[in-house]
Amino acid sequence: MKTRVCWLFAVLTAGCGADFDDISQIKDLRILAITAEPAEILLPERIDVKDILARDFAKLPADYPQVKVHALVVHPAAEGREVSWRLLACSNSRPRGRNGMNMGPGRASDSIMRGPCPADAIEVGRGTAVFADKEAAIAATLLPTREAIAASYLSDPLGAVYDSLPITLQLEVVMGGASAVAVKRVIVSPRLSPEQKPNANPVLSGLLWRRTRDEKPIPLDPDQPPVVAPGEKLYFQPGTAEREPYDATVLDSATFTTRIEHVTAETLRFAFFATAGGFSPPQRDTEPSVLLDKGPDFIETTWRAPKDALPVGGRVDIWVVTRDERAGSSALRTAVIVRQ
Amino acid sequence: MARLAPVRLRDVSCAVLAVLLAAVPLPAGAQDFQQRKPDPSPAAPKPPVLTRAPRIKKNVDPVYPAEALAAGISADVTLQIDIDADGHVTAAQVKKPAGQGFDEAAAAAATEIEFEPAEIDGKPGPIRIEYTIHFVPKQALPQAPEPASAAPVPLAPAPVLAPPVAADVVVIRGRIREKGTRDPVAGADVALSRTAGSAAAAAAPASEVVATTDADGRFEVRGAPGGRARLLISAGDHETCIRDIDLPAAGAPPIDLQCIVDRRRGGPRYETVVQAPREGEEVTRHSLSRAELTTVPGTFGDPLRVIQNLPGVARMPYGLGLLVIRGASPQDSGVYVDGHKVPLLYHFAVGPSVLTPALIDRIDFYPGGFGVRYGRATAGVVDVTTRTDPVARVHGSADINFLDSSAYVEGPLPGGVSGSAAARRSYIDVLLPLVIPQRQGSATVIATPVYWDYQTRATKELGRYGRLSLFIFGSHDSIDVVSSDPARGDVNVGTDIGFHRVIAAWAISAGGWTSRLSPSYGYDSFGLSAGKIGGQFAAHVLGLREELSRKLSSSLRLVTGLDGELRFDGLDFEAPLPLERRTYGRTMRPITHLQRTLANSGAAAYVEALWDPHPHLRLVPGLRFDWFDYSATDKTSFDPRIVMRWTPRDTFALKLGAGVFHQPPLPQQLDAQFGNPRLRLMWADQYHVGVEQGFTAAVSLDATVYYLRRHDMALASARTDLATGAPERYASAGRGRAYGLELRLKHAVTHNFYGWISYTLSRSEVIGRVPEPGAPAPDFRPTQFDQTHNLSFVASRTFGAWEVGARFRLVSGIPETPLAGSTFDGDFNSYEPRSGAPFSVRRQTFHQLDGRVERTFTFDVWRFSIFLDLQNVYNAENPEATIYDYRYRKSAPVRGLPILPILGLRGRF
Repeated sequence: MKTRVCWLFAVLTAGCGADFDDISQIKDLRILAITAEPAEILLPERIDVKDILARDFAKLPADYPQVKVHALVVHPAAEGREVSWRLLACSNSRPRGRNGMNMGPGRASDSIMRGPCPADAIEVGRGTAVFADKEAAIAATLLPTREAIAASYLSDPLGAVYDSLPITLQLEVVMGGASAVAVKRVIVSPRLSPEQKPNANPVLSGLLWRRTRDEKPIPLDPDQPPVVAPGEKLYFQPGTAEREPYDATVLDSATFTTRIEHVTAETLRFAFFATAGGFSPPQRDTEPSVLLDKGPDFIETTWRAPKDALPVGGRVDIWVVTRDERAGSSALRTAVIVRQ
Repeated sequence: MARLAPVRLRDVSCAVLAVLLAAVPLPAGAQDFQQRKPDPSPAAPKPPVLTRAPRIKKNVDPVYPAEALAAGISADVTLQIDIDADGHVTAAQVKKPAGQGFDEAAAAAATEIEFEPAEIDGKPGPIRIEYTIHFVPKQALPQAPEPASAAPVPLAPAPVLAPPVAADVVVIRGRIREKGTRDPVAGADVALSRTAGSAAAAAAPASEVVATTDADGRFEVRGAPGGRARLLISAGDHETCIRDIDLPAAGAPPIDLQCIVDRRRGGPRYETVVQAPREGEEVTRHSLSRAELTTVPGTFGDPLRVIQNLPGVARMPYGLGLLVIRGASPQDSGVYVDGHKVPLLYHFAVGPSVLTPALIDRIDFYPGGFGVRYGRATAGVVDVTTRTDPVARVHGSADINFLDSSAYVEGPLPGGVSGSAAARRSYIDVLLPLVIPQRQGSATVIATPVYWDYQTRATKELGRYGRLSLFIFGSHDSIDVVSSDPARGDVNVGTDIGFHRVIAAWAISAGGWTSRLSPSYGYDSFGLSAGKIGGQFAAHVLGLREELSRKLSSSLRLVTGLDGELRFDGLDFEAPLPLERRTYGRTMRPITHLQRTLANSGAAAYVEALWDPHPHLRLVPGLRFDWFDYSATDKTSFDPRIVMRWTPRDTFALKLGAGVFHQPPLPQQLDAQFGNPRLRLMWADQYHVGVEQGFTAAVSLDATVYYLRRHDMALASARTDLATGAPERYASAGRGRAYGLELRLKHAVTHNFYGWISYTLSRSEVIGRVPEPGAPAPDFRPTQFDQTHNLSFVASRTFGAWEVGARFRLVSGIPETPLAGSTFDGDFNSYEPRSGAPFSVRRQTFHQLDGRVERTFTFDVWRFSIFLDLQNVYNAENPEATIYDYRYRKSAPVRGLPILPILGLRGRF
C-alpha cells in the first residue's frame, strides 16, 4: 500500500502537465454509444454449469429475439462524408485476470472480457453510412441462435454461475485515415423470478440547466437553446429516467454458494459530450460517490463555453449518453448557442 | 622565542607516532576489505586490532639542504609512508611539501628507514603512517650548541622514550580536549622543555615526553618544581597545544592546565589500512562507514538512502525509498534493525529514513547470499546496527532543513547507564498552506503531510554479566488531503502509517560461549480514510532471537540460533465492496464492514559453522529450518547455504556461495476468502562467485557474478474451480530469474576523501502471468525495475572546513509496456488500452548529477555546519513515467524531480 501512496505522491508532486484532449469534447471521429434493442435476452430457466461441462444444452430455447443494434457515431466536421463500418460478435471467451482494486483478484468483475474480440469473431454485418448533422446512422441486426448461445456458454461457463452471459459486439468504423473501435454487450440471463422483465434501455427525459447555482434548474428546450457568452459556465443536470428493479445472482465468496439478490433500483450513469467547450466532470451517476461528501442526487455537471469564436451560428451540439449497469444505453442530443 | 633543537622535536614526533599507533582505534571506514565494527553481539566477528605499532629499527638522517641551512631556513615536511609487513618502507610520498630541497631530502631519507613492522591481531601487517620531519638550523637552537656547519645536518636517530625528569612532585595537572566536540584527546604525548638557566633545566634534557594523556584526556607532569618551561601536548591528528609556563615553586600546588585543540585540517594525521581475514559468512556484503552514511550527495544526509547507490539495488524513480534488489519485489527483501524486522525504512515519498543518523553505527547490505541468521526473505537484506558503545559525555546535535527538524542527545545516566534520545518532526503541513493560494468561494485543496519519529536507547554494562540494552523507536506518517469544491463536492482523503518497536538485548560471554538474547515487541498500524471508506490495520509483533556461538577449535567456530516471530494482525474495514455478481459499468457497492483477526507465526532454528581448514580457506556451511503458521496454514522449509572464501594473499580473495531461501506469501494472499490458503512458500536458489582485490592501501575492487532463480511466486489468478465455483485468486505459478555482474571500486574513507564507483550489469526476468487454458504458456519477461546498466560515481573530499561531494548516476531506462490505441467500451464508458508485449520497450536512459557542499565552523565547545544538497544539478528531464490521453493515442513523459536544492543547518556539541 505504501508503494501506491508513494507513487501517487510522486506523480502528484511531479505534475502531469500534458495538454491532452478533453474526453468530453468531440473533436474528431468518435463512437459515443452502441445501443442494442433488446438490451437483454431472457432465458426461461437457469443453466447449470454442470450441464455446460457435460455439453447438455437442452434447457436452451430454440428461438431468440432479433437484436437491433444502433451506434452513435459522431464527427464535428464530416458533413456528407462516408464512413465504413463492420460489426463483429464474440463470446466472453478469455476472461483475463486483472489485478483489480476490488479486494484482490478473481472477483466476478474480473471475469468480464474488457478488450476487443479475438480474431475468430463472427461478422454480424458491414456497410457504409454518411455523416449528416454530425452523426452517422449505423444499424445492424444480431440474430442469436441456440448454437451460438451454447458456444458462448462453453467459452464462458461462469456465465452460468453468475446467471449473466455477455455476448460481445464489436463495431469498427473507418473514415479516411481515421478509425474507431468500440465494444458493447448483449446480456443473456435466465429468468430468476416470474415477474422479471428483460432489461430496458434507460431513456432520459431531457436535460435541465441553470446559469448559476442560485437558480432553479429548468428543462432545456432543444428548439430554443440557451445562449451563453464565450467562456461562460452553464450547469446541467440529467432529467429523469427509470431506474429498474431486477434480480441478480450473487456468489458468496466465503461459502462459494449463490443466492438471488433483489436490486431495487439500478444505477444510471450519464456521460456528457459537446462539440466545443468541456464538461467537468464528464460523467455523473445516480449513486453517491464513496469519496464525496455530497448527497446521492448531486448529478450536476458544469459546462464551460469556449473562449474562442465558433463557426457561424455559434451552435454547440451536446450529447448525453445514459447507461445502466446491465449494458443498456440510450443517447439524448441537444444544443447551446455561444454568442459570437 | 627560543627554538627547540631539531633532535628533540624529532624525538617528540616519533614518540607521538609510536604512541598514536598503539592507541588510536582503527577507523572502520579506512579498512580495505570492510570488517564489522565491534558487534553488540559477542558472537559477532572480532574486528582487526592494531596490537603493536611500528617502531623505527634503523633510522636514516636526512641531508639538510645546504642553501636553506646557510640561509637559516627551517621547515617541516610531512610524508605519507607505507610500511609493509616486513617493516620495509615501500612508498614515501610528500603530503605537506616545504620546497627548497627539503621535500627531496625528507623523501630520500624516509625510503631508507627500516621499521619493526606493525602487528595487527598479533601478526605483522602493512600499515600507512604520516610522518613529519622537522628541519631546524642548529645555529638557531638555544641549547645543544654545536658548531654550525655548511655540511648537512644529521638528525638524531629515533629515540627510546626517555624517563621523566626527577619524577618527585606533580608540577602540572591538565586535560586536553578536542575543539568543537569536547572529546578528550587520549594518547597524546606531553613533552616538557625546560628553559635554560634553571637548575632543573641544567639537569634535564631539552625536551622529552613526560606523560601520555589517559582515556579522559588527562595527564600529570611530575618533575622538579620551579623554573620556566614550555609544554607541548601533541596528538597525531590534532593540532599541538603549546604553553609557556612558570612551574610552581616547591610546595606550591600544581598548575591546572586546560587545553582545547582543533583537529588537524584534513582529518587524522595518519591512517592505517588493515587487510585481515574476513569473519563474514556471505559472498557479498557492503558495509558503510559513518562518514559515508551522511555525506553522499543527493541523499539529503540520509544514511539509508546511501544503500540505493550500491551494486544490486535498482534506482527508484523520484528517489522513492523502495528497495528493489536484483529485480525482486520490495517485500522479498528483509529490513532489520538490530536483528529485528521493521516494516519500513523511510518516511513518505522522498522523506528521510525513520532512524536518526547519529544512532546508526553501521549498515550492512547483502544483495543476496546472506547467512542463515536471516530468513523469511528471498532477495536481499539490509541490517542496520545501532550504536551501543558506552557514552562518557553529553553530546547532542540539532538539524534543521526546510522539510523537518530533528534533535539528538546522548550522555551518561545514573547507574552506569548510557542513554540517548532523538526525535524529528516535519513541518510541511505548516508551510504548505502558506505557499498554496486559497481563494474564497472556489475549490480549495489542503494537504497536510506530517511525519515524525523518535528513538531512545539505554545501555548498561554489567561487567562479567555482559551488556544489557534497550532500544525503543517508532515512526509515523500521515497525509490528509481535504478538497472542497462546490461543483464536485468535498473530498477528504487521509492515510497514516506507523510503527513502534521495543528491542531489548542481553549479550554475555561465559564458559567459552557467547550469547545474545534479544526479545522485541512491535506495533504496526496503517489507516486509510476516503469519504465513506475507512479502514484500520494494526499488528502486534513479538520477536525473539537468541544466538549462541563457541569456538570449538582454533579453526572452527559454531554459531547457532533461534529466530521467532509472532504476529497478531487485525483488520477493520468499512469498504464499498461490490457484490460478487456480474455488472457492466459502475453500480452500487454496499458498504461492507470487514473484520479480520489473523495470528501468523514463524519460528526458525539455524546453525552455521565457520571452519578454516587451511589458513587461507574458510568454509561457512549453514542450515536454517523455518516453520510458518500463516493464516492457519502450516508450512516448513529447510534452507541449506554455503560460502567458501579463499584468501591466497592479503590483497586478494575468491568467494563462492550457494544457498536456498524461503519466504511465506503475504498474509492477505493466504486469506481463505480473499486469497488462497493453498499457496506454497516462495523460494529461491542463489549462486555467487566473487573476488576482492586490493590495489592500494585504500583502493579495492569487489566483483560478484550471480545467478538466482525464484520459484512459486504468488500471482493473481482469474481461474475458477467450476466444480465448486471457487475462484483461485492467487496461484503459486510465478517464476523468476536474475543474473548479472556487480562491481564496486572503492576508495575507503581516508583523511580527506572517499568515493566509489558502482556498476551493475543485470537482467531480471519473471513469469508474471498464470497460464490460462488454451492460451500459449507465458514466457519470461523483464521485471518492472529491470535495469541493464546501473552506474554510480560517488566522491566526497574535504578541503579544510569545507566538504564537497558529487554523485553521478547513469542508469538504463526501466521496461515499459507500449500502449497503442484503445477500444472504447460502450458499456463501461471507458477506453481499454491495446497493450503491446509486456515490458518490451525501455524508458529513456536516466542520468543525473547531484552535488553537496558543507561548511563546518568549529567553536570551542560546539560545531556548526551548513550544507547545500543539490539534486539534479543540470536539471535533466529524466522521464519517470508516461501518461496518456483518454484514448491512449497520445502520450507524454512525466519528468523526474527537477533541480532541487536542500539547505540544511546542523549544530553539534
